[in-house]
Amino acid sequence: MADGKEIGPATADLRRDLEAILLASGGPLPIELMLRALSLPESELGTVEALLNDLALEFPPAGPRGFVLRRIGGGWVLQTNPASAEALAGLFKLPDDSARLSNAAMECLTIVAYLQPVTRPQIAEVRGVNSDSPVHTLLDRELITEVGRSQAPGNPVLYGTTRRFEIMFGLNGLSELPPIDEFALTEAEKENLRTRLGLLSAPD
Amino acid sequence: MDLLEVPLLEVIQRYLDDIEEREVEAHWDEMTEFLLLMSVLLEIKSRLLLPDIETTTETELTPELAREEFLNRLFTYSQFKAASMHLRDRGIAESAAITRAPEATPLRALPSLDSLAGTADSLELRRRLLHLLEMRREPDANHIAPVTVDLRRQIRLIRDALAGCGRFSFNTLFGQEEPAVQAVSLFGLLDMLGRREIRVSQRDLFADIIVSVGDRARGT
Repeated sequence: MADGKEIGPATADLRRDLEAILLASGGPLPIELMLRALSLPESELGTVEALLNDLALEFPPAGPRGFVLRRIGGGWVLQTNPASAEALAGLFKLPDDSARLSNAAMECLTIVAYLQPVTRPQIAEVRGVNSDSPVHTLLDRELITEVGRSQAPGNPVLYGTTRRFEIMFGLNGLSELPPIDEFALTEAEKENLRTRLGLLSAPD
Repeated sequence: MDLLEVPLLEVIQRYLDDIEEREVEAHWDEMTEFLLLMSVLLEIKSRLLLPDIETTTETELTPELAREEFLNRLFTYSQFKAASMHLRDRGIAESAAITRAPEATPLRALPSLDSLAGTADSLELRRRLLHLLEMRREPDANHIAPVTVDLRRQIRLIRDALAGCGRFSFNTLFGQEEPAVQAVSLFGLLDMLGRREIRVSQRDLFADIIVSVGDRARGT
């Protein structure tokens, strides 16, 4: 089959097999891995992708079904419908990884997500405080990883976010992060802050 | 509020109060950072208090530059802080969904070993064998909420039920509970029975247990 000579399974069978693989995978499954599992050549990628998009319409977010099919972390994943969280919580422990991160760790993670590749001193510069401890926490939890070395003096380590980060926050790539400018203070808020701190610029 | 009038002592006292209030539950990262933030504030205050001192080097901050830098830092920091709050909300929303755990089913993303029989590439065979061995994992039961049950709590429940009406049916009180809770409640009954605190009766084997106040509890 890998040589592309054999014809792939019928669409209905393929759809059934895809559903089975997605249910059993336990995490986002890249489409390339699905092709390998189904012994399909790369030329069938479009067919599989179309079927997955079709399935996603059948299991949409906030839909009436118990499952939702989503694209996160560079793969497709079948998850329980968030609307059923209360019912699930009665029997299962829902994941709370992001809630357990301290505010400091969340800020560092956000800085890495937006500014990556970024060094530890750059993170500290944005936050105004030493950030070694939260950075270690994020490394331990595999939410960030070393992605290289900066050319700056001392060649500090550069950090970037991981696939685990994207999965935890339901992102299918960093482009899904809202632009950082959306979170900037308005001019009125800046002026208000200046006034409250008694730091209004002196008139010329 | 003028930055020059920020009462550092008061801020530090409130910080200490906060530490005592939160005890060991506090985030030590945040506490340490608070101290560092205070030191930055102290440095800026010092510069503002001594505005007329001539700077000796080009890189040294003037009070005006210190103000601008302080504000720019605040603005940038507040931007990322707001973004981090958005990200946290997103993470919390994500935690409402569960992805089915693969349990002990090993992932066979690679060709079967049969298809590798006779392969000339021994290194490839070794790599794939190691990969298959690494894919075996212990069942993950973290998603199952643990049932917590305490013997003393169950005894307390039994006492409360008896205090109310003098007798009760075991199935009525504990019939809807998890098996582990029922078992511990039964141990509670045995304990109280041994101390003659209760009396029990049962019509048939495995039938419902009727619990009533014992001789000792009645004070006889």
